[in-house]
Amino acid sequence: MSADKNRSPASPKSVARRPDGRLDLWVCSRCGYVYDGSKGEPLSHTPPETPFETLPDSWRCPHCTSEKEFFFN
Amino acid sequence: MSDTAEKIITTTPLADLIDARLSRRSALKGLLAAGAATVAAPAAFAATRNTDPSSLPFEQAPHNVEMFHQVSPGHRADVLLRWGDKVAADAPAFDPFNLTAEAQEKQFGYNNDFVAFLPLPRGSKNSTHGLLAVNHEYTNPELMFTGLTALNAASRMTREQADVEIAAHGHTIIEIKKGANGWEPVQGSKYNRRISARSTVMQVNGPAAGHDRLKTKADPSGRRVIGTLNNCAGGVTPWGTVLIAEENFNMYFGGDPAKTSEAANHKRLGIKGKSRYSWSRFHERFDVEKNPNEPNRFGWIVEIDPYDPQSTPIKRTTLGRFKHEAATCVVAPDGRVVVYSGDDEAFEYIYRFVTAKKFVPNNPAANRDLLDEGTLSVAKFDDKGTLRWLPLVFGQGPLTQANGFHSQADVLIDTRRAADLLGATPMDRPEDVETNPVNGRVYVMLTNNNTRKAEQISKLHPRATNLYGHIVELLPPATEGSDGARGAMHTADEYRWEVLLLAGDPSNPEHGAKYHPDTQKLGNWLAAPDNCTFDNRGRLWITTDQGSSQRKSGIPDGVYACDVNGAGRALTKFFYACPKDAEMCGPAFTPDNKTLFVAVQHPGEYKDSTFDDPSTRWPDFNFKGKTPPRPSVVAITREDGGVIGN
Repeated sequence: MSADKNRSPASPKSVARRPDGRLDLWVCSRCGYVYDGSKGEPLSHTPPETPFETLPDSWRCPHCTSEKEFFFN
Repeated sequence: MSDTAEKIITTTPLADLIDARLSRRSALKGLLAAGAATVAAPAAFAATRNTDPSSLPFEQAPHNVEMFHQVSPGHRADVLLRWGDKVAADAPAFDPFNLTAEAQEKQFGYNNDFVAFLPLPRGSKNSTHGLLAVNHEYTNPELMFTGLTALNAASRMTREQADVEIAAHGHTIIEIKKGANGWEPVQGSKYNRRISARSTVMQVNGPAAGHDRLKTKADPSGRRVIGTLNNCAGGVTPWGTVLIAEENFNMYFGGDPAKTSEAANHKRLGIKGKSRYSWSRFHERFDVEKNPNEPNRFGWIVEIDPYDPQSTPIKRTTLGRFKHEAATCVVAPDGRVVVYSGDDEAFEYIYRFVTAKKFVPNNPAANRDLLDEGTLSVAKFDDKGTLRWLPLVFGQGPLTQANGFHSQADVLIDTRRAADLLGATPMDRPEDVETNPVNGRVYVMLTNNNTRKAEQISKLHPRATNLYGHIVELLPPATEGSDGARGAMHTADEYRWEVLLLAGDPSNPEHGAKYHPDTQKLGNWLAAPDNCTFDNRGRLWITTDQGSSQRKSGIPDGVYACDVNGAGRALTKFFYACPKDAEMCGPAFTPDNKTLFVAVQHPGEYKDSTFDDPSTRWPDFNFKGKTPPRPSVVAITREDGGVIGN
């Protein structure tokens, strides 16, 4: 296991990207909040270039508290 | 001594006396009624009377999540209006397997939220006949159409389906009457009206009307907008119109905002290039690359005159542009009208608008455009219990050309950015802000904020990772020689504030909850306070929205009530439980408090819950016909016809 047990392992292949190479946008299906991995999320102190796929399982939508499974890309 | 205990001791003595006197009177009434007519309820009622400090004697609703709704014993909860019910006289019957935009635009819309009861005739206190004004906030395509899921709907939907959704947004005004069978809609009423995001033309008023940043290809005037979006809660003006609040309007817009002239503005409001909805694939106006100004035409407070079915709804730009949760009106002692509103997002602010002119009673025409002139302010709290209202006025402080503001219109279009510069206090998702008609205080529902860090806590926001939310009281100063609601100076620059309760489970120390100490024994805990209202005795009725966390907490969303003055302060009791995966909205009493209207929003909304296999089929439960759940307005009354909460 990796040292940071909260992080899911993610190979570069499993990270979804936009046609221009930037990390994909993920949308909360409950409230419409958009996670932009290329910019990170200042609210949850998530740094830029953090793929959605590598956010910890405990991560929740900063708007409506929904879990990761509620997001689509 | 706990904070709660301290507050119980320090509450207004006069209000205590009023509460105690009313409690005794209502207890006698209740016992008499019980002896004459009802059966089971009185025993529990009498047994708790001596030991329960709460003035709310009702027996609690079951505090568990079910596919159906549940209400306090001794009450009826009747479904009054369902998604798809007839509104216009020529509306076709609801057919969930063949939805069309044309039919939907004549039928009750989706996801009912704010509910207002407006007596007929206008200005009366009639509690058996009136208009119901209901918001339709958003849509759940996965529960409206076969073959979709919450995760694939945006990419798979057809234009026809998107148009049904657009028609299902907005507002309904419908005449209702209480008869021998309870409340019923009046079919064919001249008042019945659907306002939609698809075709209803709205006028823009105030400083931002006609501004270049509101102009689009379809509307070069910048004063004429089609429809309203994501109307969450709202308010009723003293002159009998309805204010509806445009909230998460950002989620309808697609296209890359970075490629537009409004990049920073769109980003601040959460428009980031991908939409929860499919609409931008079919309609240019929802694509910011093609229409960069279209989002600037949403995020306002809209005023509607429900008594005039021909009236044009008006977007009042003086009240600012943000994710308005609600718009609660109160007349200040000097006659000016005050409107409170929260900006529903983590670390956003609460706002107050004060009209420039005074309200003229009994003259709706004189007040018609009262909301077009006045001052919008934002709240800044300190840890010593003081709140200051900071005015958002172009040219004052940092709101100048140096910071990119060229007029009051810019300040209002970019309200959030202006409030940032003034140093407003970021809050834990401020939703409803309501005024108490008895003690004059203002109550702020802070739903939750899972992103608050330990280094960001304060007395106002005492918990990091605030998953359960809390309720804050704002205390306007009183005019000399006056107290309670009549003397509350809602126009003052400075208020005091207190925390009423910290939600969560008081039996779990990890939650850090704080209520009245008897809540575990005599009441029930709540999570995610969202909307609220008051009864005529000034008691607080709270509705909750835990979202998907409901599955984890194991408690339903619904209606809770508590005293805010007296010995039962912050002892929350559970009154009504929503069906599974629903949120509770729209609490609204009739003037006599004998009916409480509530809105059950998004029953069955969950990641794996679909039209074909929903987590509930409330309220029709047509398992054979496989019909989906239907967001509905429910009318709650007492079986003995009495006043709710007495």
